Amino acid sequence: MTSVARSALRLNAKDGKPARWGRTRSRTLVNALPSPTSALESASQVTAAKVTSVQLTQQALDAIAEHEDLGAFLHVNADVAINHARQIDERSESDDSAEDRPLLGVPIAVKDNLCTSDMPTTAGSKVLENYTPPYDATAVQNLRKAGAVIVGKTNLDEFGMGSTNEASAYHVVRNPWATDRVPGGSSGGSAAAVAANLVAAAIGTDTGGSIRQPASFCGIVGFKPTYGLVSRYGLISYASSLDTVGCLARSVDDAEAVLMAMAGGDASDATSSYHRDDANNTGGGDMESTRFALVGAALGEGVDSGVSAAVRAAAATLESLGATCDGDVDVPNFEDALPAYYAIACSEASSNLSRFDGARYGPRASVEKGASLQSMYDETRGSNLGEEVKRRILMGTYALSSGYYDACYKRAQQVRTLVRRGLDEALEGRTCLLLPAAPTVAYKLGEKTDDPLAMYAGDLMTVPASLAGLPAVVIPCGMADAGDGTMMPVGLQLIGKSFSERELARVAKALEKAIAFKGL
Amino acid sequence: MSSDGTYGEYEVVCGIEAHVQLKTKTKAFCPCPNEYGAAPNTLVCPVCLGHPGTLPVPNAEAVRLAALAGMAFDGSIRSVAHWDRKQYFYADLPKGYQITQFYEPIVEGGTLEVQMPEANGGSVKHVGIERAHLEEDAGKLTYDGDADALVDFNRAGVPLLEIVSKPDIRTPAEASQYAQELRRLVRALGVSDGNLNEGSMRCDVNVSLRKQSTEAFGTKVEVKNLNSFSSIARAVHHEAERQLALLEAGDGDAIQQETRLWDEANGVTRSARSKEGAADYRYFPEPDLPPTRIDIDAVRADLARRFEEDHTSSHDRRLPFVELPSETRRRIQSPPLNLTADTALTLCENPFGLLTFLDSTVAHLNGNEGVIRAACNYVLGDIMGHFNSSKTGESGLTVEIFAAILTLSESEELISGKTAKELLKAALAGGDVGNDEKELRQYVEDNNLAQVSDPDQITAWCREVVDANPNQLEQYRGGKTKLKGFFVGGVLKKGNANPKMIDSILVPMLDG
Repeated sequence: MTSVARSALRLNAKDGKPARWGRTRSRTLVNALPSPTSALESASQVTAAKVTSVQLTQQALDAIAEHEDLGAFLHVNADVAINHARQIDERSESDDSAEDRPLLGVPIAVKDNLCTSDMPTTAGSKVLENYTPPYDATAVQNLRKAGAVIVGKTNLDEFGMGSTNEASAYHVVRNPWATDRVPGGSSGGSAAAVAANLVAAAIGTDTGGSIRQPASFCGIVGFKPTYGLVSRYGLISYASSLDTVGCLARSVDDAEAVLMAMAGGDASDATSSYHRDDANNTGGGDMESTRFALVGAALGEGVDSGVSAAVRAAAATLESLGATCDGDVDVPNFEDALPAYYAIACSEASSNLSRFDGARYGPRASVEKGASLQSMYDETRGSNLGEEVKRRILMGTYALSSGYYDACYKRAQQVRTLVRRGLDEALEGRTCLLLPAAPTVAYKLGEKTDDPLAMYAGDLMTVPASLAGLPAVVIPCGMADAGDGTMMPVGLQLIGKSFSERELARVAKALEKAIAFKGL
Repeated sequence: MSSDGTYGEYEVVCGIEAHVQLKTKTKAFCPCPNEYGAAPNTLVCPVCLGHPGTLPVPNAEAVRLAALAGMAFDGSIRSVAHWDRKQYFYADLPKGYQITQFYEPIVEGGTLEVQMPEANGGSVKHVGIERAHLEEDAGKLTYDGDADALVDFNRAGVPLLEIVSKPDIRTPAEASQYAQELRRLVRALGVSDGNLNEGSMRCDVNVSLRKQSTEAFGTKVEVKNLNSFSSIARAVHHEAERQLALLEAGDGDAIQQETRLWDEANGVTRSARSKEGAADYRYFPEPDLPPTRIDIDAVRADLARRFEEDHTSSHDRRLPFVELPSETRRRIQSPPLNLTADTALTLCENPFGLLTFLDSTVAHLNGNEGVIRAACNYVLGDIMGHFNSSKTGESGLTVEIFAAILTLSESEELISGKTAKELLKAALAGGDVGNDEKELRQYVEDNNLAQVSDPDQITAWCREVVDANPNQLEQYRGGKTKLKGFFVGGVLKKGNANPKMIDSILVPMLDG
């Protein structure tokens, strides 16, 4: 990493500021811990009783407090987290095996659109300010079962709608590599928290690229699973047919472990899949049998040269490891994915967000007695939903309106089928497709805020896998000039077949090792 | 309205949309109990309250019941159920949309066989079913005195089957009878309670007029808020009269496609909202629910389970194990019961279990036509009367004793009809007249209830009475034949004589 980025990070870190959420610090112990530690390594240390979960958790809480100015978190509940950590430390030997609890004692951050019964869950929106759900999301439950300690809830673009985290109703998130730049979105808080070493792993959600693009902007690993691998129960819906729960981490190993800890069919989510075993199947693949291609359309015009250069270099590295490269392929209908994605996602969002009416939970606008129900809805939704959310609700409402349904929503679904078919075709006989996660590196805060279309265009490379429901992993593959001499990370995206998560992880790990990207 | 149901030169064209709450253990998309009458907001969970992040899970039982109802009215059942969202904002709708089946209803087509009462012609009418689809109920709004609206979400998410008829109904009476037949059907199948007053069955009618013998439909008006079968008939009649007045005044354009509410107290319909201003529901496929496969074999297995106690008869049935109300009516209007259309309408609902009771009794009796007719008369008269006036809905009458009473009175004439009625009354009230025919005979003997059927004895009594009343005899012979009752009464005072025999012996004696 560049000295510019490093100094920027230091500049914005408030050294010596009292911990806002921290308990009494045990400085010596915390400093004695090796840092940063991977999630899996931490878990094995806790399992072997070489370190306590309380120590790890306190360390995370301290780091979070220290880097509060990154804006990565919306809620941190130190008491709850330390309590959970203590329970883990006080476990009896017979309580668990390492196999059952692969994340034993590991502090993990969770995106604030996943329901937690012991912390508020706002989805980054004023419409859910101070709302604490009556239940845990299935993914959160599974994390807890695996032994993880939830330290806090990370910032996001309101309801996951955004690519920069500037659409959070609370505050922006800064990119730890250069704090005047965006971390990406919508899982920007999770990405920044992981990139800045506040936690080893954080949960994100990905509807059209919301894990992959921020992972790319922050130089970390982001894993979006096959649609249905992780239950959506408790994920505050943005676009139901596209929403997935995944992970951001500093290594593929960690990302894979956390993802698999969350995975599994769920009776509460009719769209969840019981294919976890298929996802576990590596198929015995090795580098000699690994075959891949580059998505030509994602490496041409409109893509920063530094980005395409880094991706092509990564492809060459993969080839040098023994894999077969089929060169650039044309993925049919790849570019049609973007408008189809926005038509479908906005349509579903316009419906999913109807429930936020101030009647049963969340703040209710005060209207005078005797005022109509409609005026209460207008006031509540008008004043508590953000601009980007309203824009997408309006677009979706339009697309579903009688007279437009066939031309908008229905046609978008037809395009979706073609996009899926195109990717399936391109993946036929291949392990994965390689492409950038985003056409640019992280840009400056405010740069695209007023140009939604430019921001939407940045999703071109991530939405095809979303529409097709395919798994995709992003790993950092190098640095590129952001245009002003600032070197920022570039993310390489690998798209695989349905439920081929283990295969994808195998290839990504080999590449990760060969590339040896240096994180913050 | 003319006696044939027409209005001036017009006829009514009416279709009915019935919402039937399905009798499942749990709600349509969450595990909350599906029960009526609990304290407000006690049967709720994050899912049916529409909390963020919650997802629906289809209730397989609701899907089975819907398929079962569809099979009963001979609709075609989809092998895969698709779900859609219907979107509008209202305080009783937690998610801001209702999960329904707009594009692909679970049932399409079918007919309902409606028996009209004798007063309405007594014919059998076949009303087509357009479609039936599953959806979830909304919560219930109530208003306290202070103009605040209160919402009870216990009902939110209760499974509904919306059954839409074709516009085949032509008179107010047909509308009411169609609704009643639909209720009989869902009750017979056990798919719904069908209580209009508890809202487990709700009917909206669509009414328009058209010139007789024409094809084109007029502008239809939807009437809601119909809380009884009589209000359905009254509302259709009132709406037809209202439209007729407009048409005859040359003001047919004033009939708008709109929703009107039935005002029971004043017997009128009032405009609620016009369709022009109606919401665009923005239907689209429910992305939280993949299509649900419907296993027809499982529906049939479920059917067998539900009705395993009632597989006695194997008539020409549409469904195995269960006799539909229309099939019941056909059966009981035929030999051996030979009931009238009106009686069949009453009994086909098996009120108080009386049809089952009658069927068992007939099977037990193995008797002739006269005995069976007597059994029917008792069931429809004294026995139904007992249940109608009984608060407990209980009776001590068993099939064995009822059959024994009939045997003793009708076949053997051991006891009189009057005695039979008294024994029946005692048994219904829980009195001890014995447990079977043998014990009943003993009871009759112990209480000296047997009638005298010895012709010599009866002749002697008749002679005594005739001889003792020469004046009345003279009047009788002079043409005042009504005095026969006087002589019969006199004979009965002598002893418990068989009334039929009194008749046959006394009349020739009186006639000289």
